[in-house]
Amino acid sequence: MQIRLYTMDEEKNKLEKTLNDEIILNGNLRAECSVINPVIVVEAENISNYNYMYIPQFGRYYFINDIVSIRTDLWRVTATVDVLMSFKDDIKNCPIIVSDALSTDETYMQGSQWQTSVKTKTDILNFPSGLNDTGEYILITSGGVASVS
Amino acid sequence: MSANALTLSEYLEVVNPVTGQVALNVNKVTNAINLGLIEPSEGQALISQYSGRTVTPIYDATTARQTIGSWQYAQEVTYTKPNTINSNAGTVSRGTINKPISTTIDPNTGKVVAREVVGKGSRVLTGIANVASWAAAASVGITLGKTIDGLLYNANPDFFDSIGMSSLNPETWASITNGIDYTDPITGTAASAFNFLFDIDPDTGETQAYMRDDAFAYLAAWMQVQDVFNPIQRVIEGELSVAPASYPIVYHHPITYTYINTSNQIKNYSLSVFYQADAKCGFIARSGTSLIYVQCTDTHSSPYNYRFTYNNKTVYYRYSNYGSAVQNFSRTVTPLFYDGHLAGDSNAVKHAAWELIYGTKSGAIEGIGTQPNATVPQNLSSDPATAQQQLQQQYPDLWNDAIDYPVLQPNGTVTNYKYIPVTLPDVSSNTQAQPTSGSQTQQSPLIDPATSPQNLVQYLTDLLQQNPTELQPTEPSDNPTDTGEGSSPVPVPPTGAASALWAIYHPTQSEIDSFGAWLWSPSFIDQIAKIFNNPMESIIGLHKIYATPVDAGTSTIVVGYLDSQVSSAYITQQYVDVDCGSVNLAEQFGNVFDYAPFTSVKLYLPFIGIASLDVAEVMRSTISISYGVDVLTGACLARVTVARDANSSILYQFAGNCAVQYPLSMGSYMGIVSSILGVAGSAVATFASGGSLAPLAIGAANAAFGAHTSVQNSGNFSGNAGAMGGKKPYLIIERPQTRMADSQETYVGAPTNYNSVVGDYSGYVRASSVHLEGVTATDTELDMIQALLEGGILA
Repeated sequence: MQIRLYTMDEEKNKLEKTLNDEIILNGNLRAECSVINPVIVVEAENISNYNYMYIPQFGRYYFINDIVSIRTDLWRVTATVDVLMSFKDDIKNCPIIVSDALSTDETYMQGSQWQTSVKTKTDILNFPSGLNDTGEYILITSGGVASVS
Repeated sequence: MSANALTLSEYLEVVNPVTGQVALNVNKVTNAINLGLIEPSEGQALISQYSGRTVTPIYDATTARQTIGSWQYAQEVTYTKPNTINSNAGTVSRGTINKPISTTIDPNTGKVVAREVVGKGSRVLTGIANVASWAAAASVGITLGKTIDGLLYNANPDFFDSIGMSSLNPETWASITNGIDYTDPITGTAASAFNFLFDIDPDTGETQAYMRDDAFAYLAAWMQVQDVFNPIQRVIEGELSVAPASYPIVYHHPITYTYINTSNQIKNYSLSVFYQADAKCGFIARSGTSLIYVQCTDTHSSPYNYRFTYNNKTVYYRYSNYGSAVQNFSRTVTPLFYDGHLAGDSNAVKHAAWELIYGTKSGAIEGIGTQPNATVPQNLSSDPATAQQQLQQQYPDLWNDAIDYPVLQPNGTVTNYKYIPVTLPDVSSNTQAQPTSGSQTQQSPLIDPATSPQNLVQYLTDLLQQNPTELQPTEPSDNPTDTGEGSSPVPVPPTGAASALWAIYHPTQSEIDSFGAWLWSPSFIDQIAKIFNNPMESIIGLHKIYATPVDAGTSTIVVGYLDSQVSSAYITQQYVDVDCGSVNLAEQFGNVFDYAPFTSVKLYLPFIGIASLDVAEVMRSTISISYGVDVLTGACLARVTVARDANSSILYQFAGNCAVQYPLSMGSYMGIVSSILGVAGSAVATFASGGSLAPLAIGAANAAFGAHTSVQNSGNFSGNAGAMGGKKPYLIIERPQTRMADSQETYVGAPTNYNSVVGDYSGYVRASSVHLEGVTATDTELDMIQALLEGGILA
């Protein structure tokens, strides 16, 4: 069995990660081991700087949760599967309904992302004209109009 | 029907946004412009054709801001996917063209038709049409008081050539023309086209033409440069001749310039006006072997090494000695600068140059005159923008009678183009380059089918038939357009009045004072008459309204049977309209912040108050307000019209009252008179039951000398708080102050709602719904994947 250790400094929720400083360890799986949350004892020099792992036999990538030094050159590595990296090709083909995205032309949809201050500003748009500033007398009488000129 | 008419599907292909598809059909866009379906305006659309791997744009994409008229190249997008034309990928251009407000779908026929918009008065707007620039320019000249007859074209066959007209300001020319070109088949003169509006009186058929005010001003400024409005005009006479072989020019109009030199000799210059490829105009002066070339535009470039300025006009010229002798011509003009003093040889050249280009003292351009009693522009600027301001001041009626034509812009705002009424020339078609004024004048701008020349009537008919009338009906679509359409009915105020039962007077302050003086006249005889005909009972009310009523005439104020003999205007039209104008409410942020809950819009209405408007309904629209006022009661109705896309409707109506009531004091004369005549009883009660025929009761109820006139207020002085408020409406727009973090979208994305696959995105993406198909993972892992996708990942 082979395990490959890496350093990885990108976001955990990144789909495809860049892996650095690979070292390959070969050995035999001697006891039961979870595919999702493996605990593996490895014999190697100092591996305390590594935080990421790939097990080809399992076909999965893992976040290293803990590294325990049992004794000189003997380490217990506890890991959890990174499902994004492990199944990235399948995930890329998954149909989804996107609710939020970096790249979108839509800027008119409501969302909690839109942040404002409690302050507002007031703009006034005046109409060009209106009613008269001064009034016109209207006198109403009964009886109709008399002579017309 | 025009051969260029579009089917509705073709029309929708033109107006709907094209994304990820083939380029717009250029011919259909052009047709749509031709038919007036699309109003070109700056910043809209682009037109390009796709041809395999090579883009074949109608306008060179490598040149920024290529235009068709005022259409500009908006965007180019490179696609890597195959398109439907062929399987080759390539550069495809896309863009959007906004549907004009001027069209709608007839619900009865399902056809796209020009939408009727009320024009001026009872006339109805019929639509827009293309008018060739020579006819448009002649329209401007006639509207500004000039006459044009065929003599103009004897010496100036291409006076209205658009190449010359556009040179005044090419950028402005591009923005005011619509990209359609015409050519006179006889003269070869070129013309661009302008959008004209037409409205028609449905009863008489009289038609009024309108053109954009900025286009009008441009043409007026150009004609000013041509000295159309000035008494001193450029004179170019003579006969065509053959250009010297060594010059790549078009040769026109030679004249002979005669002057007297310092030796008191009469000398001649044979001068010819010619047009060179890189010059606007110029001439060659030939005297012996000397050749002088003059350019009449401002340039300092070689080969012009002399210049002469007179009266703020400059000519540039040079001397050159080459070419063969040119025949002398016989026409002679009087030198402008010859005022009795001798002109030297050195002055003759520059004077000849200036005079030939800028004119002589003699008369106006032959063929252009002035209409009797017409108003001609004074000191008009050659700058179109300045000329427009001057014309607005000199011809305010043109702008008062203008039609506002709104056009939606790509950014969601609406631009109002103002179309002013103009007088069409006598022209038969858009390919006739030499229009004349005919019988059309500044004072008679309407085209009357009964009296206008038949060719003009036919021309108008041809223009208006450019509007589509027979497009095919539409089918329901899964993706209807994002723009609305339709209009609310035009409100028609009630008419008629029981004019025999009441009268509505419109007195001035002094007339009110006179009426009051009559009413409270201390004359005993007057009081006797008023006892039997109590005028106070006949005064229904007195108030002030804050709108100008329409006076029907003048009469004396009559109350009941009494004539006060006080003259006053009176009113028969009970309802008046007050147009408060329009404002454009444009987005400021261009995104969700322009709408609720971030932005709110309220409207202050005089005599009504402040009302809230739905910001989604009024944003990126033109809001117009008009008040309907009932003169009789003061009731007012504010109608708020919202125009957006192809829709213009009264969306809000608010009622109020704009009358300020005044109390009338009602005197009880019975108390005074009864003690003298022995009449008892209340004046009001008595005369209400019998008037002048009521029996007189004997026995004074009050001693005459101790009696007091009892004054009773009639009516309530409710007043109107609105009279103390503003009289002009205004919008109150509350906008947010945004606090978006830098690059926030990289952390949390922006809201969207698209159905896609994860691989189509880069950067932050969060799903609201996931179909985990084809993922070979354990159940626990599938839950983890779904949770991560719904929480957001970086793809």
